[in-house]
Amino acid sequence: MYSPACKVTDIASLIPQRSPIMMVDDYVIEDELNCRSELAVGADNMFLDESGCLSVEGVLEHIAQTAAAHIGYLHRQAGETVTLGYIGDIKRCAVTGPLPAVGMTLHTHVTVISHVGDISLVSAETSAENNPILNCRMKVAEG
Amino acid sequence: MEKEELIKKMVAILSDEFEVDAEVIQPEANIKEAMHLDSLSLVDMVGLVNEEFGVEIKTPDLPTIKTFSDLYDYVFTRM
Repeated sequence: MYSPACKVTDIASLIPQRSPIMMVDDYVIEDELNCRSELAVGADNMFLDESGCLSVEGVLEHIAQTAAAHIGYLHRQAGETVTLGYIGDIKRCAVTGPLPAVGMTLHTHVTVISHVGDISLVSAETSAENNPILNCRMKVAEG
Repeated sequence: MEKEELIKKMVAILSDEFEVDAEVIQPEANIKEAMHLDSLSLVDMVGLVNEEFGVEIKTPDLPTIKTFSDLYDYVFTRM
């Protein structure tokens, strides 16, 4: 159904966001339930805070786009239409390290925990410079 | 795991996760009504069952799981 540990090069076909609010540079599918993504924090990122670091909202947007891309990829591999993903809910969000500054790269691991109808529950862990910075659970609703 | 043990564990984790009194989780009580579940929190329950018991509730099966007793049976027969 999918090619394990393959890098998906056409992310733009899976999510509607475009520069400067596209928040996923690289997306690698590990298996049906797991994927990894990266984002280099640029000086033009729209989610930078006053101190020049990516805000929590920016990290969450990066996670949401990663999860939406993964769900879209699975749909496409199943021969179904790629749907848009919306953040339905965020729980157990913990900021565990300093937010990344411009020039750093986010590394995110998303795991699908459950899927009911058009709603998926995922867990996500994001790190930068080998330091965990945020983890959460997020529901992504397809529209 | 014996079924009685499963039920005890299920009641504990559901009451904790959904912040309801364990006494409302009676076998014949309606799950959605007892825990005030909406479509979003229903996904939480499915995820919790998957994580805690290793049982994936399939979407087409959800309509058949109306009461806690239905849930216990579903999980117990698939563990």
